[in-house]
Amino acid sequence: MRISGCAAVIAMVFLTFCEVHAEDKYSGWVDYYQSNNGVRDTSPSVIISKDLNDQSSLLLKYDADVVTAASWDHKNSKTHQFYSRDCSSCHGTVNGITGASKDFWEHRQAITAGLSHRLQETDLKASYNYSTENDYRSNAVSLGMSQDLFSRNTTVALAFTNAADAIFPRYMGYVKDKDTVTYDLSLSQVWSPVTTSRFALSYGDQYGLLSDPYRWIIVGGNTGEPIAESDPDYLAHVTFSMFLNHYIMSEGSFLLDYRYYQDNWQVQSHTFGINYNQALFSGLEVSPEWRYYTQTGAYFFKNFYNQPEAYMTRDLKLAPFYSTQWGLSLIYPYQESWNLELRYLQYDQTSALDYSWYFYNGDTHAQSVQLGLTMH
Amino acid sequence: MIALAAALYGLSGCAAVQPWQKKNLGSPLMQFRSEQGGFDYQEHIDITLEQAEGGYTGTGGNCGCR
Repeated sequence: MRISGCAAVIAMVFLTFCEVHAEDKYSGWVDYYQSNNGVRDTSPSVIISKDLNDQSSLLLKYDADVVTAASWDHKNSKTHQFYSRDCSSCHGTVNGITGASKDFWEHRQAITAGLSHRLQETDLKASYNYSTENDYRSNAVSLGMSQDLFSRNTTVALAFTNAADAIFPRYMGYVKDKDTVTYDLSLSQVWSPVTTSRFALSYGDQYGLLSDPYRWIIVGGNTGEPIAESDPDYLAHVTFSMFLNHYIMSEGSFLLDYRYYQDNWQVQSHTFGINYNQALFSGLEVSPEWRYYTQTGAYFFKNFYNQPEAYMTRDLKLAPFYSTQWGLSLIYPYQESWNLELRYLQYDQTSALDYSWYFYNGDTHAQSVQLGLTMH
Repeated sequence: MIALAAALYGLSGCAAVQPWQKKNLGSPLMQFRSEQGGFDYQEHIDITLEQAEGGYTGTGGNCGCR
Protein backbone atom coordinates (compact mmCIF):
# COMPACT_ATOMS: atom_id res chain seq x y z
CA MET A 1 0.00 0.00 0.00
CA ARG A 2 1.51 3.27 -1.07
CA ILE A 3 0.67 6.45 0.75
CA SER A 4 -0.26 9.41 -1.33
CA GLY A 5 0.76 12.40 0.74
CA CYS A 6 -1.55 14.58 -1.31
CA ALA A 7 -4.53 12.26 -0.72
CA ALA A 8 -3.88 12.21 3.03
CA VAL A 9 -3.71 15.98 3.25
CA ILE A 10 -6.82 16.39 1.06
CA ALA A 11 -8.76 14.05 3.37
CA MET A 12 -7.67 16.05 6.38
CA VAL A 13 -8.62 19.36 4.77
CA PHE A 14 -12.09 17.90 3.98
CA LEU A 15 -12.48 16.76 7.58
CA THR A 16 -11.56 20.24 8.73
CA PHE A 17 -14.65 21.73 7.08
CA CYS A 18 -17.01 19.28 8.78
CA GLU A 19 -19.02 20.44 11.79
CA VAL A 20 -16.63 21.87 14.38
CA HIS A 21 -16.85 20.82 18.05
CA ALA A 22 -15.39 22.67 21.02
CA GLU A 23 -12.65 20.07 21.64
CA ASP A 24 -11.46 19.80 18.01
CA LYS A 25 -7.79 20.48 17.46
CA TYR A 26 -5.83 20.99 14.27
CA SER A 27 -2.11 21.46 14.06
CA GLY A 28 0.58 21.58 11.42
CA TRP A 29 4.32 21.36 12.02
CA VAL A 30 7.49 21.75 10.03
CA ASP A 31 10.58 20.36 11.73
CA TYR A 32 14.16 20.74 10.57
CA TYR A 33 17.22 18.88 11.88
CA GLN A 34 20.89 19.08 10.99
CA SER A 35 24.05 17.59 12.45
CA ASN A 36 27.79 18.12 12.08
CA ASN A 37 28.00 14.71 10.37
CA GLY A 38 26.14 15.89 7.31
CA VAL A 39 22.69 14.50 8.17
CA ARG A 40 19.77 16.81 7.44
CA ASP A 41 16.08 16.10 7.88
CA THR A 42 12.99 18.08 6.99
CA SER A 43 9.75 16.76 8.45
CA PRO A 44 6.30 18.23 7.83
CA SER A 45 3.32 16.87 9.78
CA VAL A 46 -0.41 17.48 10.07
CA ILE A 47 -2.48 16.34 13.06
CA ILE A 48 -6.25 16.45 13.42
CA SER A 49 -8.17 15.52 16.55
CA LYS A 50 -11.91 15.79 15.94
CA ASP A 51 -14.86 15.01 18.20
CA LEU A 52 -17.40 12.74 16.50
CA ASN A 53 -19.87 13.15 19.36
CA ASP A 54 -19.82 13.75 23.13
CA GLN A 55 -18.02 10.45 23.77
CA SER A 56 -15.89 9.66 20.72
CA SER A 57 -13.13 11.37 18.83
CA LEU A 58 -11.07 10.67 15.74
CA LEU A 59 -7.32 11.20 15.37
CA LEU A 60 -5.58 11.53 12.01
CA LYS A 61 -1.91 12.26 11.56
CA TYR A 62 0.33 12.48 8.51
CA ASP A 63 4.07 13.02 8.74
CA ALA A 64 7.01 12.71 6.40
CA ASP A 65 10.80 12.79 6.60
CA VAL A 66 13.17 13.83 3.85
CA VAL A 67 16.58 12.78 5.15
CA THR A 68 19.83 13.62 3.42
CA ALA A 69 23.34 12.63 4.33
CA ALA A 70 25.05 14.92 1.90
CA SER A 71 28.56 13.95 2.96
CA TRP A 72 27.78 10.22 2.68
CA ASP A 73 30.01 9.53 -0.28
CA HIS A 74 29.98 5.78 -0.61
CA LYS A 75 33.03 5.43 -2.80
CA ASN A 76 35.23 7.67 -0.70
CA SER A 77 33.96 6.55 2.72
CA LYS A 78 36.42 5.22 5.27
CA THR A 79 35.14 1.71 4.66
CA HIS A 80 36.29 1.92 1.04
CA GLN A 81 39.46 4.00 1.18
CA PHE A 82 41.78 1.04 1.63
CA TYR A 83 40.24 -1.05 -1.12
CA SER A 84 40.45 -0.81 -4.87
CA ARG A 85 38.17 -3.69 -5.71
CA ASP A 86 35.35 -3.89 -8.16
CA CYS A 87 32.09 -2.92 -6.40
CA SER A 88 30.44 -6.25 -7.19
CA SER A 89 33.09 -8.18 -5.22
CA CYS A 90 31.45 -6.97 -1.99
CA HIS A 91 28.01 -5.79 -3.10
CA GLY A 92 27.15 -8.69 -5.40
CA THR A 93 25.20 -7.90 -8.55
CA VAL A 94 24.88 -4.25 -7.69
CA ASN A 95 23.36 -1.97 -10.22
CA GLY A 96 23.63 1.74 -9.83
CA ILE A 97 26.72 2.23 -7.71
CA THR A 98 29.16 4.07 -9.90
CA GLY A 99 32.42 5.79 -9.23
CA ALA A 100 30.68 9.16 -8.99
CA SER A 101 30.13 10.87 -5.67
CA LYS A 102 26.49 10.60 -4.61
CA ASP A 103 24.26 12.32 -2.14
CA PHE A 104 22.29 9.69 -0.25
CA TRP A 105 18.75 10.54 0.77
CA GLU A 106 15.66 8.79 2.05
CA HIS A 107 12.01 9.74 1.98
CA ARG A 108 9.63 8.39 4.65
CA GLN A 109 5.89 8.84 4.90
CA ALA A 110 3.62 7.76 7.73
CA ILE A 111 -0.05 7.98 8.47
CA THR A 112 -1.83 7.28 11.76
CA ALA A 113 -5.56 6.84 12.30
CA GLY A 114 -7.04 6.43 15.76
CA LEU A 115 -10.34 6.33 17.61
CA SER A 116 -11.04 7.05 21.26
CA HIS A 117 -14.27 6.45 23.16
CA ARG A 118 -15.22 7.44 26.70
CA LEU A 119 -17.45 5.24 28.85
CA GLN A 120 -18.14 7.09 32.11
CA GLU A 121 -14.68 7.14 33.78
CA THR A 122 -12.97 4.88 31.22
CA ASP A 123 -11.22 5.91 27.99
CA LEU A 124 -10.65 3.32 25.27
CA LYS A 125 -8.23 4.01 22.41
CA ALA A 126 -7.16 2.18 19.27
CA SER A 127 -4.88 3.35 16.50
CA TYR A 128 -3.13 2.08 13.38
CA ASN A 129 0.14 3.45 12.01
CA TYR A 130 1.56 2.76 8.54
CA SER A 131 5.04 3.99 7.68
CA THR A 132 6.89 3.44 4.41
CA GLU A 133 10.37 4.23 3.05
CA ASN A 134 12.34 3.06 0.04
CA ASP A 135 13.78 0.19 2.09
CA TYR A 136 11.50 -0.14 5.15
CA ARG A 137 7.82 -0.64 5.87
CA SER A 138 6.06 -0.70 9.25
CA ASN A 139 2.53 -1.65 10.28
CA ALA A 140 1.71 -0.93 13.93
CA VAL A 141 -1.46 -1.40 15.96
CA SER A 142 -1.89 0.22 19.37
CA LEU A 143 -4.60 -0.41 21.96
CA GLY A 144 -5.00 1.59 25.15
CA MET A 145 -7.26 2.03 28.11
CA SER A 146 -7.25 4.57 30.95
CA GLN A 147 -9.39 4.59 34.08
CA ASP A 148 -10.08 7.65 36.25
CA LEU A 149 -10.35 6.92 39.98
CA PHE A 150 -10.93 8.75 43.27
CA SER A 151 -12.81 11.79 41.87
CA ARG A 152 -10.49 11.87 38.85
CA ASN A 153 -7.44 12.50 41.01
CA THR A 154 -5.87 9.20 39.96
CA THR A 155 -5.60 7.75 36.45
CA VAL A 156 -4.32 4.30 35.58
CA ALA A 157 -3.47 3.66 31.93
CA LEU A 158 -2.48 0.56 29.97
CA ALA A 159 -1.26 0.43 26.38
CA PHE A 160 -0.15 -2.31 24.01
CA THR A 161 1.61 -1.81 20.66
CA ASN A 162 2.49 -4.45 18.06
CA ALA A 163 4.58 -3.40 15.05
CA ALA A 164 5.32 -5.75 12.15
CA ASP A 165 8.10 -4.37 9.97
CA ALA A 166 9.59 -5.45 6.63
CA ILE A 167 13.16 -4.48 5.74
CA PHE A 168 14.28 -4.68 2.09
CA PRO A 169 17.69 -2.98 1.72
CA ARG A 170 18.50 -1.40 -1.60
CA TYR A 171 20.65 -3.42 -4.02
CA MET A 172 20.63 -6.51 -1.76
CA GLY A 173 17.67 -8.45 -3.09
CA TYR A 174 16.13 -9.75 0.13
CA VAL A 175 13.30 -8.99 2.57
CA LYS A 176 13.59 -9.64 6.28
CA ASP A 177 11.21 -9.05 9.18
CA LYS A 178 11.37 -7.21 12.48
CA ASP A 179 8.59 -7.54 15.05
CA THR A 180 8.13 -5.26 18.06
CA VAL A 181 5.77 -5.66 21.02
CA THR A 182 5.53 -3.01 23.76
CA TYR A 183 3.51 -2.91 26.98
CA ASP A 184 3.02 0.36 28.89
CA LEU A 185 1.57 0.99 32.33
CA SER A 186 1.24 4.43 33.92
CA LEU A 187 -0.18 5.92 37.10
CA SER A 188 -0.97 9.65 37.18
CA GLN A 189 -1.83 11.41 40.44
CA VAL A 190 -3.10 14.86 41.40
CA TRP A 191 -1.49 15.71 44.73
CA SER A 192 -2.71 19.28 45.19
CA PRO A 193 -4.30 22.10 43.17
CA VAL A 194 -0.79 22.83 41.82
CA THR A 195 1.06 19.50 41.71
CA THR A 196 0.68 16.39 39.57
CA SER A 197 2.91 13.40 38.92
CA ARG A 198 3.11 10.37 36.68
CA PHE A 199 4.92 7.05 37.04
CA ALA A 200 5.33 4.87 33.95
CA LEU A 201 6.65 1.38 33.33
CA SER A 202 7.34 0.03 29.86
CA TYR A 203 8.49 -3.37 28.58
CA GLY A 204 9.37 -4.10 24.96
CA ASP A 205 10.53 -7.00 22.78
CA GLN A 206 12.10 -6.79 19.33
CA TYR A 207 12.83 -9.85 17.21
CA GLY A 208 14.25 -10.12 13.70
CA LEU A 209 16.75 -8.10 11.67
CA LEU A 210 18.14 -5.60 14.18
CA SER A 211 21.45 -4.90 12.40
CA ASP A 212 21.87 -2.16 9.81
CA PRO A 213 22.40 -3.95 6.44
CA TYR A 214 24.32 -0.94 5.08
CA ARG A 215 26.99 -0.96 7.81
CA TRP A 216 30.26 -2.83 7.36
CA ILE A 217 33.15 -3.27 9.78
CA ILE A 218 36.85 -3.37 8.96
CA VAL A 219 38.23 -6.22 11.08
CA GLY A 220 41.91 -6.38 11.87
CA GLY A 221 43.06 -2.90 10.85
CA ASN A 222 43.70 -1.52 7.38
CA THR A 223 44.72 -4.91 6.01
CA GLY A 224 41.56 -6.55 7.27
CA GLU A 225 38.39 -7.62 5.53
CA PRO A 226 35.07 -5.74 5.63
CA ILE A 227 32.44 -7.82 7.40
CA ALA A 228 28.75 -6.98 7.59
CA GLU A 229 27.50 -5.71 10.92
CA SER A 230 25.83 -8.42 13.02
CA ASP A 231 23.68 -7.60 16.05
CA PRO A 232 21.75 -10.21 18.07
CA ASP A 233 18.30 -10.87 16.63
CA TYR A 234 16.50 -10.37 19.96
CA LEU A 235 16.29 -7.23 22.09
CA ALA A 236 14.26 -6.84 25.29
CA HIS A 237 14.09 -3.64 27.25
CA VAL A 238 12.44 -2.20 30.34
CA THR A 239 11.92 1.49 31.10
CA PHE A 240 10.85 3.27 34.27
CA SER A 241 9.91 6.95 34.16
CA MET A 242 8.82 9.59 36.67
CA PHE A 243 7.31 12.99 35.92
CA LEU A 244 6.55 15.84 38.31
CA ASN A 245 4.68 19.01 37.32
CA HIS A 246 4.32 21.96 39.69
CA TYR A 247 2.39 25.16 38.97
CA ILE A 248 3.78 28.48 40.20
CA MET A 249 1.38 31.26 41.13
CA SER A 250 3.07 33.74 38.80
CA GLU A 251 1.61 31.78 35.83
CA GLY A 252 4.56 29.49 35.46
CA SER A 253 5.40 25.85 35.98
CA PHE A 254 8.28 23.46 36.56
CA LEU A 255 8.34 20.07 34.83
CA LEU A 256 10.85 17.50 36.06
CA ASP A 257 11.32 14.05 34.56
CA TYR A 258 13.59 11.05 34.95
CA ARG A 259 13.83 7.85 32.91
CA TYR A 260 15.81 4.67 33.55
CA TYR A 261 16.37 2.24 30.65
CA GLN A 262 17.92 -1.21 30.58
CA ASP A 263 18.07 -3.90 27.90
CA ASN A 264 19.44 -7.42 27.47
CA TRP A 265 22.35 -6.07 25.39
CA GLN A 266 23.50 -4.61 28.75
CA VAL A 267 22.88 -1.01 27.80
CA GLN A 268 21.77 1.05 30.79
CA SER A 269 20.82 4.69 30.57
CA HIS A 270 19.58 7.58 32.66
CA THR A 271 17.69 10.60 31.32
CA PHE A 272 17.06 13.77 33.35
CA GLY A 273 14.93 16.60 32.05
CA ILE A 274 13.75 19.93 33.36
CA ASN A 275 11.40 22.45 31.74
CA TYR A 276 10.39 25.84 33.02
CA ASN A 277 7.30 27.40 31.47
CA GLN A 278 6.40 31.06 32.01
CA ALA A 279 3.48 33.05 30.67
CA LEU A 280 4.44 36.62 29.80
CA PHE A 281 2.58 39.62 28.39
CA SER A 282 -0.19 39.26 25.82
CA GLY A 283 -0.38 35.51 26.44
CA LEU A 284 3.14 34.85 25.14
CA GLU A 285 4.75 31.78 26.77
CA VAL A 286 8.48 31.11 26.98
CA SER A 287 9.85 27.67 27.89
CA PRO A 288 13.54 26.96 28.38
CA GLU A 289 14.44 23.28 28.76
CA TRP A 290 17.47 21.16 29.54
CA ARG A 291 18.05 17.43 29.22
CA TYR A 292 20.95 15.19 30.25
CA TYR A 293 21.40 11.64 28.96
CA THR A 294 24.03 9.02 29.73
CA GLN A 295 24.35 5.38 28.67
CA THR A 296 26.70 2.43 28.96
CA GLY A 297 27.74 0.48 25.87
CA ALA A 298 26.36 -2.83 24.62
CA TYR A 299 28.35 -5.86 25.74
CA PHE A 300 29.44 -6.61 22.16
CA PHE A 301 30.31 -3.02 21.20
CA LYS A 302 34.00 -2.33 20.52
CA ASN A 303 35.73 0.67 19.04
CA PHE A 304 37.86 -1.71 16.91
CA TYR A 305 37.54 -5.42 16.18
CA ASN A 306 40.86 -7.24 15.71
CA GLN A 307 39.22 -10.52 14.71
CA PRO A 308 35.73 -11.58 13.64
CA GLU A 309 33.29 -12.07 16.49
CA ALA A 310 29.76 -13.46 16.69
CA TYR A 311 28.31 -9.97 17.18
CA MET A 312 29.98 -6.86 15.83
CA THR A 313 28.53 -3.40 15.34
CA ARG A 314 29.40 0.09 14.10
CA ASP A 315 26.17 1.46 15.56
CA LEU A 316 27.17 4.45 17.65
CA LYS A 317 23.87 4.18 19.55
CA LEU A 318 25.43 1.15 21.23
CA ALA A 319 28.58 3.00 22.40
CA PRO A 320 29.04 4.48 25.90
CA PHE A 321 28.49 8.25 25.85
CA TYR A 322 26.61 11.11 27.44
CA SER A 323 24.72 13.99 25.87
CA THR A 324 23.18 17.30 26.82
CA GLN A 325 20.34 19.05 25.11
CA TRP A 326 19.03 22.49 25.77
CA GLY A 327 16.23 24.31 24.07
CA LEU A 328 13.89 27.24 24.04
CA SER A 329 10.24 27.37 22.98
CA LEU A 330 8.09 30.40 22.31
CA ILE A 331 4.31 30.04 22.11
CA TYR A 332 2.30 32.99 20.84
CA PRO A 333 -1.52 32.97 20.90
CA TYR A 334 -2.53 34.39 17.53
CA GLN A 335 -6.14 35.49 17.77
CA GLU A 336 -8.48 33.63 20.08
CA SER A 337 -8.08 30.06 18.90
CA TRP A 338 -4.68 29.87 17.19
CA ASN A 339 -1.27 29.21 18.72
CA LEU A 340 2.01 29.76 16.91
CA GLU A 341 4.95 27.84 18.38
CA LEU A 342 8.66 28.11 17.62
CA ARG A 343 11.18 25.76 19.22
CA TYR A 344 14.97 25.48 19.01
CA LEU A 345 17.01 22.53 20.33
CA GLN A 346 20.79 22.11 20.58
CA TYR A 347 22.12 18.57 21.07
CA ASP A 348 25.73 17.75 22.00
CA GLN A 349 27.14 14.27 22.47
CA THR A 350 30.41 13.38 24.24
CA SER A 351 32.22 10.05 24.05
CA ALA A 352 35.74 8.63 24.30
CA LEU A 353 35.58 6.97 20.86
CA ASP A 354 38.34 6.95 18.25
CA TYR A 355 36.47 7.79 15.03
CA SER A 356 39.26 6.67 12.66
CA TRP A 357 37.21 3.85 11.12
CA TYR A 358 33.75 5.39 11.37
CA PHE A 359 31.88 7.28 8.69
CA TYR A 360 31.33 10.10 11.20
CA ASN A 361 34.30 12.33 12.01
CA GLY A 362 33.45 12.96 15.67
CA ASP A 363 30.78 13.17 18.34
CA THR A 364 27.38 14.34 17.15
CA HIS A 365 26.41 17.98 17.53
CA ALA A 366 23.00 18.82 16.13
CA GLN A 367 20.38 21.51 15.96
CA SER A 368 16.67 21.30 15.31
CA VAL A 369 14.08 23.97 14.70
CA GLN A 370 10.35 23.32 14.94
CA LEU A 371 7.56 25.60 13.76
CA GLY A 372 3.97 24.71 14.60
CA LEU A 373 0.52 26.23 14.12
CA THR A 374 -2.37 24.90 16.19
CA MET A 375 -6.07 25.73 16.04
CA HIS A 376 -8.26 24.68 18.95
CA MET B 1 0.15 -5.85 39.66
CA ILE B 2 0.44 -6.29 43.43
CA ALA B 3 2.49 -3.12 43.63
CA LEU B 4 -0.09 -1.27 41.52
CA ALA B 5 -2.91 -2.48 43.76
CA ALA B 6 -0.99 -1.41 46.86
CA ALA B 7 -0.29 2.01 45.34
CA LEU B 8 -3.95 2.51 44.47
CA TYR B 9 -4.99 1.45 47.98
CA GLY B 10 -2.60 4.01 49.45
CA LEU B 11 -3.71 6.74 47.08
CA SER B 12 -7.36 6.18 47.98
CA GLY B 13 -6.61 7.68 51.38
CA CYS B 14 -5.17 10.91 50.00
CA ALA B 15 -7.14 14.11 50.43
CA ALA B 16 -9.17 14.60 47.26
CA VAL B 17 -8.59 17.70 45.15
CA GLN B 18 -12.02 19.00 44.19
CA PRO B 19 -12.92 19.83 40.57
CA TRP B 20 -13.18 23.56 41.28
CA GLN B 21 -9.60 23.49 42.61
CA LYS B 22 -8.13 22.09 39.37
CA LYS B 23 -8.20 25.22 37.26
CA ASN B 24 -4.40 25.61 37.17
CA LEU B 25 -3.87 21.91 36.49
CA GLY B 26 -5.74 22.32 33.19
CA SER B 27 -3.38 25.06 32.05
CA PRO B 28 -1.23 24.27 28.96
CA LEU B 29 1.72 25.12 31.22
CA MET B 30 1.01 21.90 33.15
CA GLN B 31 0.94 19.48 30.22
CA PHE B 32 3.25 16.49 30.53
CA ARG B 33 6.16 16.67 28.07
CA SER B 34 4.77 13.89 25.89
CA GLU B 35 1.56 15.88 25.41
CA GLN B 36 3.30 19.06 24.26
CA GLY B 37 3.50 20.08 20.63
CA GLY B 38 6.67 19.01 18.86
CA PHE B 39 7.45 16.22 21.32
CA ASP B 40 6.89 13.42 18.80
CA TYR B 41 9.58 14.78 16.48
CA GLN B 42 12.02 15.27 19.34
CA GLU B 43 11.53 11.65 20.40
CA HIS B 44 11.87 10.57 16.75
CA ILE B 45 15.30 12.25 16.63
CA ASP B 46 16.39 10.98 20.03
CA ILE B 47 15.85 7.31 19.09
CA THR B 48 18.17 7.73 16.10
CA LEU B 49 20.96 8.98 18.37
CA GLU B 50 20.41 7.03 21.60
CA GLN B 51 19.65 3.40 22.46
CA ALA B 52 16.98 4.19 25.09
CA GLU B 53 13.40 4.41 23.92
CA GLY B 54 9.94 4.49 25.42
CA GLY B 55 8.67 5.68 28.77
CA TYR B 56 6.86 8.74 27.41
CA THR B 57 4.11 7.68 25.04
CA GLY B 58 2.54 4.30 24.47
CA THR B 59 1.78 4.35 20.75
CA GLY B 60 3.39 4.72 17.35
CA GLY B 61 5.15 2.67 14.71
CA ASN B 62 8.76 2.08 13.73
CA CYS B 63 11.02 3.45 11.01
CA GLY B 64 14.31 2.59 9.35
CA CYS B 65 15.89 5.58 11.07
CA ARG B 66 17.22 3.48 13.94
